[in-house]
Amino acid sequence: MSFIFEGFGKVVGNTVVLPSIQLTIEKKDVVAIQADMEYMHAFLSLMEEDRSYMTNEIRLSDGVLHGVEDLFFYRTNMGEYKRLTPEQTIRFWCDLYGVRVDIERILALAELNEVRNKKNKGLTFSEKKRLQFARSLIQPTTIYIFQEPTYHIDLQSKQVLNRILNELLKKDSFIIILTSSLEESIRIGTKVFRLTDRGLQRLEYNEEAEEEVEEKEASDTEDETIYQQRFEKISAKSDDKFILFDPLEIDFVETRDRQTILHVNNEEFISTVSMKDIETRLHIYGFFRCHRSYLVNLQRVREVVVWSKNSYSLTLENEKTVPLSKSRYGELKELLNW
Amino acid sequence: MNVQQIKVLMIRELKDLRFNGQVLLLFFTAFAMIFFIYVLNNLTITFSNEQITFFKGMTSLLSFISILVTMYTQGNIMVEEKEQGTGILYRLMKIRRINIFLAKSIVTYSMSYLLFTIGMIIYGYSLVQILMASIFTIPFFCMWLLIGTAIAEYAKNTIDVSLYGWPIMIVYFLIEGLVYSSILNKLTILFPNYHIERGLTLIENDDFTSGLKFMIVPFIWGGIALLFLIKRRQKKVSIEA
Repeated sequence: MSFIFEGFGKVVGNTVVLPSIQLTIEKKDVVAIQADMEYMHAFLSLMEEDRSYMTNEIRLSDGVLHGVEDLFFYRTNMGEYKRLTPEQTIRFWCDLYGVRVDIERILALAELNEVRNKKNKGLTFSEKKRLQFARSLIQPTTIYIFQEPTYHIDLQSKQVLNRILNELLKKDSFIIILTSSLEESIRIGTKVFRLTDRGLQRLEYNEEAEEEVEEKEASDTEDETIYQQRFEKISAKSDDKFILFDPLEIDFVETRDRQTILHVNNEEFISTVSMKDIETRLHIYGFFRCHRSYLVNLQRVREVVVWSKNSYSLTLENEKTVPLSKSRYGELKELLNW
Repeated sequence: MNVQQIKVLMIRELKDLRFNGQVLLLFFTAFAMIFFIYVLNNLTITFSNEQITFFKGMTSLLSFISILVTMYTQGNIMVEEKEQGTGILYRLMKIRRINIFLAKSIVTYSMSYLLFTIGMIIYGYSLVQILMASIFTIPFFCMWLLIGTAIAEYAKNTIDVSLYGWPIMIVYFLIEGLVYSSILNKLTILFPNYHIERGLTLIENDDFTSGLKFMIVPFIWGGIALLFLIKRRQKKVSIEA
């Protein structure tokens, strides 16, 4: 069974509110869609409209989808009753959905046991969000939509989210994560897409196949690298001038929208050099290709966070996180000897 | 109408209301008013050979209960869903608004009715009078429930509810004053205050058949409030669409 979006989009007058989306999600897929706020809201609003289900723009390949009530939604603006406790809230949701679940287990999974009798208004922002994540374990559905689930939450809550997503995947669910952060979408999703005015574009393909291609490319250019001279500066364009950065100033380099972006002191600069070239040049300065789209300065890395056996990220000294792909994890482990 | 859903929503509301400071304050203020009005009502002052009586027993108490408890509590608990962002879940679950309204209204009505009954017992009403007065006040309480809900439709938060409720309260008590003073009596006949006063007085005198006839105007006002609410809701839905 697949969850299908077909011609899912909206045009008002001459304005494209949401570009047409064609997407098929298979069971156990965690589809992460990186989009700006405008498209994200348009996407969610359209998902809430009955029209999308009536016209089969959203449907199940083998099953009936009545409407928005058949889907789980986690939205950033959803609140909780401030005078109830997490335990009472969970009981209320169980009664509302008409299901019997093991409340102890849900509290444990959401790591809310310690605050189970504390009023919701006294919970921290992250605890409140964990409570909302817990609702996904109660609602009887297999389709889950999360909007910015990791926005502003602490590390503990991110781990809870991972655990809950794994729980949901155990029951052959379809999960869609909408986020504005590319790093988060790469970290959480098994399939990553970007929603832009050009529509929905797959960002990451089969990682292993790509690794092979990259390895081949690397071997082809091996001879060239021998002759490469040591570059001391990396150039970036800012307005009408070019800035030259000392390699060690750079925190990490990212490829976004086919552009190479240098992250320096919490600022972004578009580089004139390609990612591949930068990688070659900065290798000797301790830069490491942690992901297909990221090159990180290892001197800036403070933590290697293991979310699950397939999900890793690097936390830099400036608190920013950079995804670390599964295949690169072993390489980094070897490199850093831990 | 989903009875199970209404029951679940009601139970949650009751759990929540126990700790709702605003609602509790209004409830206990109305409770204190039972005794306050009772004492003042029995205190008659003679001024220039004219006897001045403060308040008018159950009629005055009913006005306080219906505004402080019925209107404000209903407004507050309805708007809280919007304020806290908890209403989004109901919208996504496609829980009908009528079910939410009914669940909250039953709770608010019960609170108001409890106070009203305590008042009637204290003011010495007989069991039959209490029963008749309970039937008589149904459209009146419903009217205030609808007004409270309409305020919540306009308001963004509980502060707005307090703000929008004040003018309604002032106008209502102003009309109430006119009813008691018999000034502009012909005009006051249009408002529910007059009919509540007359109806309750007749019930007090055990003239139940005539008393219950005064339910008609409060019932019409309840209908007007309902139409107003429906209109407002339709407008809101069309704007959202």
